[in-house]
Amino acid sequence: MSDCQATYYDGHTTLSRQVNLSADNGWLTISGHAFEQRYPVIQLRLSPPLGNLQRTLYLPDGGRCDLVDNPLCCQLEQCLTKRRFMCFVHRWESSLKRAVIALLLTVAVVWAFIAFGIPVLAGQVTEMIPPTIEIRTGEETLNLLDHAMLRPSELGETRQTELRQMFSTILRDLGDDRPYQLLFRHSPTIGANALALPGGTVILTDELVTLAKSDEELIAVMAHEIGHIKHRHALRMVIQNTSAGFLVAALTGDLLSTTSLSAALPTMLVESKYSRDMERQADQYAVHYLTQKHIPLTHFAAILNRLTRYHTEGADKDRVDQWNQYLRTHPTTTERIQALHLPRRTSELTTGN
Amino acid sequence: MPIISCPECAYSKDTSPSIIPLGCYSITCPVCGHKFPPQPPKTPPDTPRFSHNEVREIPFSFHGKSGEYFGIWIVNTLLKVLTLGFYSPWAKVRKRRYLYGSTRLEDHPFDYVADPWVLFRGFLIGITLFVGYTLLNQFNPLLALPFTLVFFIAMPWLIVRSRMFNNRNTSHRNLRFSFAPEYRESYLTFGLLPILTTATLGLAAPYVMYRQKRFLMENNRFGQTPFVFEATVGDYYQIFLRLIGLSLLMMMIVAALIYAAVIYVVPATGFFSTLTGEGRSQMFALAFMLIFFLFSIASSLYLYVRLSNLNWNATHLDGHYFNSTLSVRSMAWIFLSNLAAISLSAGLLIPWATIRLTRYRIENLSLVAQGSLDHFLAGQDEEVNAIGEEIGDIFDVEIGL
Repeated sequence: MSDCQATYYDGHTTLSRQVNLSADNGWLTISGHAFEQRYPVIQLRLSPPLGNLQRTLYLPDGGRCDLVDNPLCCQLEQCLTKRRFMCFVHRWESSLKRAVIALLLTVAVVWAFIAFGIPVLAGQVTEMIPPTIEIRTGEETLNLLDHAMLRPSELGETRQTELRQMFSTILRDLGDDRPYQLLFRHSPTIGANALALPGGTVILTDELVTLAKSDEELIAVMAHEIGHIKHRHALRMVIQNTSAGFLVAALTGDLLSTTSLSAALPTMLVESKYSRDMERQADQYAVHYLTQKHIPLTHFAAILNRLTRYHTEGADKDRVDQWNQYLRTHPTTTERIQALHLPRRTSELTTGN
Repeated sequence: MPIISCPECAYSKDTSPSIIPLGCYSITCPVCGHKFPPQPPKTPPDTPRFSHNEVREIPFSFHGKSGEYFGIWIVNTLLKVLTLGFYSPWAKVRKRRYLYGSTRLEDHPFDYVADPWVLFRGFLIGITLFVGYTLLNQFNPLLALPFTLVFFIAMPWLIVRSRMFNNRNTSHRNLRFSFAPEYRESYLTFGLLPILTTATLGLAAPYVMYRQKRFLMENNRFGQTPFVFEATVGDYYQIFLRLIGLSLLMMMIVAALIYAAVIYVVPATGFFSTLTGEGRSQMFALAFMLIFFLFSIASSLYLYVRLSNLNWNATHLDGHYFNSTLSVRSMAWIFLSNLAAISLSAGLLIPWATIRLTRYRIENLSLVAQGSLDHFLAGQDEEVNAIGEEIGDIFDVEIGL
């Protein structure tokens, strides 16, 4: 039978010996200078092939033999049926062609996960979580916001009642039985803005209410925020970001010592992509409602434009749009307005400026 | 021919060495039935190749190849992604085995012998904690606070367990390394001393780092043989003082350059007048951030290189000592070009960068041996679970090596 040279270490000292290995009838014989040992092949463990490293035979008594990959290894491998999978992995690792295929597959799988897998899974997980958790989280978030950047509203009581009336009309039309509520706050920090908190709370800032030129514009904004709540976006966001962060960490886990820096950017990219997708979904929800009520979409476009102008005052708008394309939490206003499919004329009118 | 004799009844017999299996731990006396260990390790049959006090410098050599490592890296990454991360213990073992197995001393390779299933158990615990923590943090940050506290309390324990696991699963010439510290000391060096750093506004930082390194090095063993660490606090402070001196010099140069630019170059080009007030302050902020980033990289590289050299050069193993010859300039070049290559290739050059950095680090280390290296003896092996290692890995506990 085949035999070969190997380096033998007994496991008790660092002394190494050159030995001869031969396998026969289920027994492995190690013979060296003035000693010889026999082991049943069944009790041996052979290290899986890896790169061009030497193979290692781990002996039952703690000894080991290092040997160059050779016919004896194949012969032993056939007796030791375990670890076939690692041989398969090794075949893929050691061929450039397959490594390239693996690379393309990795990119495809990661992309599919981020684009479809995670959102779909998150949607299903969201279904399973009872709304009570969302309501509690929403209350806590509101407390936090009230402390940090929201002040009591300075809007007149009549205006508030009017708007609440509009809000409950929308809810009645949509037929959703969640405990929705509309709140008004004044906020110098965030300016004209609308927020949807998990559970069903919509906040309009005084600045937004005064910025709007008609009630239809505010209806569009409220429908958009209700869309966020209806689709439970806050909860989905948490789940999606957690799983995406996990995926990125698993992928970049072995990046030298630059881990934190190099993992942060891809995570941010993915998170803002999800955020943009949710904005689009909320926009669609609002559009759906407005069309149903025969409210022209130009109102929605108008308030979007006005908000953009309000927030980018002084800054070079085009440049900001280009640079932040991948890190934005919202799609660009131009894109959002295009998605409204306004008749050409009006679209030009509203996006002009 | 060794003579085996029973310590109980003094029966003795001449035996050929091939009759006693090498892994034999106990011999039963045929006369009185008493069990006893075999006589002190049989003298090696091969004559020692080196006389007892011959001094020679043996370089560590690295034989890893970027091409090979690329295949290993990408295939294992794919498997990790396909299995939703559950394959990562196997991927880790494969990658480490490749890097360790490609490292040789006197042509004897190192080996990473961790069992992926043992790592997998630790991985499951770590991942459960991680997911729990992340969700808690998102839903209720207040409840996550005690969790963070527990984590900080467990930190010194994690550091010890992780190092125990890794040492125990590293072998060279079929002898395992080990780490045998007292937890009390771990809590002192990693729990209490860092408070001292804060309390003294960083003045004690070199001392604390020294104590931590000493703790990590002194408790290392190769087989039964402990490592001896002879660096002093003075050495550490010297390196930090040099760093401060160099930093001041750099700051002066940078300040002078900025001054020159503002006074002479900028008005000439008229570039500044095109910017608004906000643009100006943005540009300043950007420049400041860039300088700060480069500066912090430069100083941490300086510290890493100087401290690595100091630590290795002050380490002995049974009369053999180490010689580390890393240079700040080469390290900075490798680090920055690696960073550029990785970002420009969207991560594809990670394997190349890893191999390059590992090669540089390993090939700048050598062992100055006195006589032969054949006489190290194995210690007692105890299985170590991988919980500490995996939790540390998942939560990214930094252990300065």
